[in-house]
Amino acid sequence: MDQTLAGGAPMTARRAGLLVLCVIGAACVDLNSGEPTVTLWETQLEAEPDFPGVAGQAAAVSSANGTEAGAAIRGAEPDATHPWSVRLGSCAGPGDQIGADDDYPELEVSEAGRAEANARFGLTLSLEDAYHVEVRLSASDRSRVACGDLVAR
Amino acid sequence: MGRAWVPTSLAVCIAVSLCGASSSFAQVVLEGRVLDDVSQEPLAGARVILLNRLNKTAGYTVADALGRFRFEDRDWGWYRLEVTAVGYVRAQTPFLYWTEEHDFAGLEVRLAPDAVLLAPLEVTALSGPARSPILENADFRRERGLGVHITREQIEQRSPANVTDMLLELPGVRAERSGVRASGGRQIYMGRALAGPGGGDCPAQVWVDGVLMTRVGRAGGDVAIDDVVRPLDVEVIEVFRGLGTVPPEFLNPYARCGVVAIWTRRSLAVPR
Repeated sequence: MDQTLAGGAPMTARRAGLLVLCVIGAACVDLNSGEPTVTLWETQLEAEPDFPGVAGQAAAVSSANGTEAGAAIRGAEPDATHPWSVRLGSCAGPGDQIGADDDYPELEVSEAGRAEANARFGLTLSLEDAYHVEVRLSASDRSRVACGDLVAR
Repeated sequence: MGRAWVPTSLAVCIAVSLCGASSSFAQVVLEGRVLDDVSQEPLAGARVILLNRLNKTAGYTVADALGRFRFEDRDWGWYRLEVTAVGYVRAQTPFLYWTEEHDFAGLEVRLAPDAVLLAPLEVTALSGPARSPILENADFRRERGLGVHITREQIEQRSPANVTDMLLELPGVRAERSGVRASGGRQIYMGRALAGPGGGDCPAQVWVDGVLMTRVGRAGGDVAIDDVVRPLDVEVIEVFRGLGTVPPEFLNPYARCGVVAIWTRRSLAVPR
């Protein structure tokens, strides 16, 4: 091989060099560089034992610009107001809240027992981490009403 | 207001009169009856469609027990009627022009019977028709209660000129006209939708028969619903006004703008 490259076939050596450059170049070109990477997350919210009948869903769209999240519940007590948030970890092993309380408008339950709210915060959800959405009873009573582990897709 | 009825002859018999306006407000009215051309009996249940000069549906109604129908509150311009009834030849009237001077038209549409002799039929009873899986999915989402559904029955009761007319009756839904379109079609926006990262508004994502029509940021991607679907073609409309209510099957990076999923009658064919 050394013989070939050194003296026998200079054209072959040049071709080999070009091939290496092409491979390196292809590896560096991101064909999707014009569009930011977006991850979608979703979950079905399940009621805690003390609050049967409450259910719902939540979703999040996360990119380098930040994260938009939304939650909706049904079967809740009419006219109640429930805080909610995206948190690190899972329902079984919850961690810290993502963003501040002020980032999350409360879920204001209608006469029909339904509520929905949307939030935006500046942090990006990482595929390396686990997240969940938690609905709490009130600002003063942080008992969990419903919860769901976010799944990336 | 005097109403002089002037008969006009067509393949079907249509009597038309245009009357001068005596009222000061700008309201146009079209009313009439649908009759059997042979028996002169009223044709209850005849379907009457009001078409504009582009032959697009501007209104829809069903003749009552006396064969009567009525349209009103339309803008001035060229209109005509298309009338159908089972067992009769379809009829289209000539174009009529409403102006300030002629804001009332009375029509008598006579449909010619279209009886067809059939060969003897052998009828075999089968099990009931399978329910469309599309409707089953829509029903499932309705039972979960996180969106708003507009059914075909509601559309027929309301008989809107455009699909967006129904959407605009929902709280938190508004429309803006797209200036670049010749039709001036309206785009739907959700009041509860989150603004974009730059604070910008975005139109609701429009799905028709499971296909995403809206392509945000791409040429021709700003779909105006009324350019794509007519009210009479719709079986059910699902409206999801915020990201939290959007079902996983409609979730995409722009779902924060809200989602309108329209299922037409064409999509409901059940494979056997």
